[in-house]
Amino acid sequence: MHTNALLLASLAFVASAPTSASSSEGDALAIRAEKLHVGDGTVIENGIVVFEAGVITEVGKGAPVPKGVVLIEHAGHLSAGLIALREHAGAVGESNDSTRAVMDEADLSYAYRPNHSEVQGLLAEGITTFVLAPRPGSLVGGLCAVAKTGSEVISRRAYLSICTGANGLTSNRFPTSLQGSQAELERRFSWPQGVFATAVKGELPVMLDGGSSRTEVQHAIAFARRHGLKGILVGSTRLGEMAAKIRAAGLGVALSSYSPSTGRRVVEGAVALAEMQVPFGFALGSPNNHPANLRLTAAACIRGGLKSGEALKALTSTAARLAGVGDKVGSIQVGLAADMVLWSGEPTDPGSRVMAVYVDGDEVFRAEDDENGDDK
Amino acid sequence: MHLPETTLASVLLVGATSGLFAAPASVPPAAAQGDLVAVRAHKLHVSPGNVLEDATVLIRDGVIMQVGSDLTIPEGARLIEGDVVCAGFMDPWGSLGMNAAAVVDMGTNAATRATDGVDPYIDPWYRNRALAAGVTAVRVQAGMASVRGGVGAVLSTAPAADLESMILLRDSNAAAGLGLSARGKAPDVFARIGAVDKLVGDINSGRDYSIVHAKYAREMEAWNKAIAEAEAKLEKDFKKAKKDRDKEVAEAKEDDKEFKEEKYKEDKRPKPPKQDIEDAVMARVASGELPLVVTIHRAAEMRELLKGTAKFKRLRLVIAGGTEAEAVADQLAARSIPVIVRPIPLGANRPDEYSGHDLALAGRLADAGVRVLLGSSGGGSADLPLLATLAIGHGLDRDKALAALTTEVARTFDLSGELGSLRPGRRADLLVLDGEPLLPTTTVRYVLSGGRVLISPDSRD
Repeated sequence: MHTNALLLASLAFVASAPTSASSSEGDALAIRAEKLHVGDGTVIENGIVVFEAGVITEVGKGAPVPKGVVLIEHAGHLSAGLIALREHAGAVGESNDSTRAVMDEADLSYAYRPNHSEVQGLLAEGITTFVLAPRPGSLVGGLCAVAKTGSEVISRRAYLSICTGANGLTSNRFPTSLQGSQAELERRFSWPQGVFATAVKGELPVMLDGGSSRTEVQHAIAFARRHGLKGILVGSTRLGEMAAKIRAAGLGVALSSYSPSTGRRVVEGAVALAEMQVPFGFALGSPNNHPANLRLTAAACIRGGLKSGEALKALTSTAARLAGVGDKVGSIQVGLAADMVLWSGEPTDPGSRVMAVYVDGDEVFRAEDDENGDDK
Repeated sequence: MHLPETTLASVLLVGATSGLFAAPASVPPAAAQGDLVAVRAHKLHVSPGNVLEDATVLIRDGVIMQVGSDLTIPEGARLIEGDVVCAGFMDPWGSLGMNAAAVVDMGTNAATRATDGVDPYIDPWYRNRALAAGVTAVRVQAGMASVRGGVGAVLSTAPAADLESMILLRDSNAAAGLGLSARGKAPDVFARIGAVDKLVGDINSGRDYSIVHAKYAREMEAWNKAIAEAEAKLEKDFKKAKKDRDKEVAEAKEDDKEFKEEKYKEDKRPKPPKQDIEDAVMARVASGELPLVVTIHRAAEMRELLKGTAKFKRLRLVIAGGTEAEAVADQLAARSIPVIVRPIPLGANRPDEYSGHDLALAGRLADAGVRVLLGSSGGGSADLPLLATLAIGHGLDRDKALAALTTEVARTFDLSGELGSLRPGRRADLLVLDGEPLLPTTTVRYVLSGGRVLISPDSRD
């Protein structure tokens, strides 16, 4: 963790000089940003957020700053920390097991290494929460955890990860065909007890990797509807083409990371999903994808017609809701964790810099050359 | 190759005329004669940092005629209006418009011409996407990962009727690749350093080649002069010489002897030096006529290259990639060597030479005074403007990012008089935007290439 001397030196215009800008020990802190993005689409000009003991206590334009509380002036934007759905940072080889097709009780929270360099790398891109998921390759990969970047796991049963498509197949162990995997999943989802039954009851959402082709995705949606599953679809760049079907099934979507070859589909998909009001967030898939890809994907969608506010919701509040942690993170709201990013400009513009990142009210990242200031 | 034979032949013919010190071809205009277009904007970026308010660009026959705030728009001109206007973006490290086999060819040599791999009918969808994103020109190279990439070219992304009309510059540079992974494996360290020394040796050979050829040219000149003088003398003394000869023939006959013709000795003709098309290209590199783009990433190899090439005072190096270039930033700044940075977010699975890849590279190099260009390193030119925003978000100044896609590219490849800025005399490659350039929320409304309106709000799907 960084100490806070730098912060005070660089952008705090302190009313009364305290010794620490951290709120974790009970010292309250307040930040006023030129633009404060709440997370529900509203933007407060010169908005103030006050937080204490890692939790937001006041939000608003004229939010009262308690006497003696340091008010940091930020010449830029402030938003909730970004959230990556389907992420593998720091799990190294722990996030998949190629020898077994089904690991229904595998608990991904055991694979979480908060101090791993890959996890710390997420902070530099403003990602404060992520869903640690198994890598594709298994029919049933296990239980996804929701982790605070560099900090604790806040949900150990965010999703049950299943692959109905070709991503769950390998040639050297059962199942080896799409029909085989469907048959195996049907069998398991008919069991009266265990995680599958919990998912069928709607008490455990699924992260459903339907594979990449349109046919596979349709099979996946049909599977979810047959068993009344809740959760999100992942793994295909063509999900947007099936927005109406996804909406009818009551599912959400984690859009794949943008790359030039698949970009257009992801972009058009995001626009279609937004139009159909299907809740969606973005998958990252680091370390195979660079953490900057999360915001780049959102920016590509904006360039393709998605509204900037919609993109920010997908990166924060909607993603939190989809991961089942909307009551903890994802918005700048009283009672939620003080997970925030100070940006040099619009959060969804990749040209804006991450100036500082807070997790649970602690400053965990600050731009190296911030003393020069980039708020020009 | 899929090129029609006639077209290929014409390329070869034109190529053959570009000799040892041939001048670069001028950029062809694209619009028809008499076309008149006026583009008016609230903000006009003449070049990065040089902005005019409420200004107009007047374009005739595809060329910018006038730029200013108080221009009267001539009658009959097509008027296009927008919020912001800037020059078209250029990808200094791309492959759009090239035959795929030419791009991945590992057997290219110093004399391989990119123009021989140009295909005006390939990838129309990708080229249109690049154009719609505002990328109007791409510098291409055969053998992008080859040890010697040959002579590069600058191509327009506009739909082309034929091969010639898409080539903006047919010999933009020479190229080399050092220490690049092939089939997922990096060459070992000795091979890598050896390859640097080999390149330095090739530049040296090029310099020697130009010296030998220049000497031969001087000798031939002297020889031709001597011959001409001797001929003139013979011509002048012709009558007397004929008379003398006739007399000698008669005398020989009288004496019943055989007449022996007097042999004239002429100066020995200078022996022509060996011709070598690869050395000929490297000669143009050594003389500074062609910039040499070296794709190189590791600090050790860059140090070796900078050390080895320091003696070539006229050499114009350009570094492509430059993953670890920060370590030699001082030298790059001092020698004004530009670096083409690839601002792409790379994941954990990356070639060895990209191990230290960092999105902050462009900003750090620029802060150290190094000239920075931004390139896609492949067919992703359409994404370059978006990726450039990532470089901005990681420390590159906004104006410098714009320069990295416009003026700096033109300057590096000797096209400042033709492309990269909105000044009179330049080819009218420009963008009409609804906001500042290099923002994701900004839409490219119109794209003009050579004065032709190729993208407009109506043309979008």
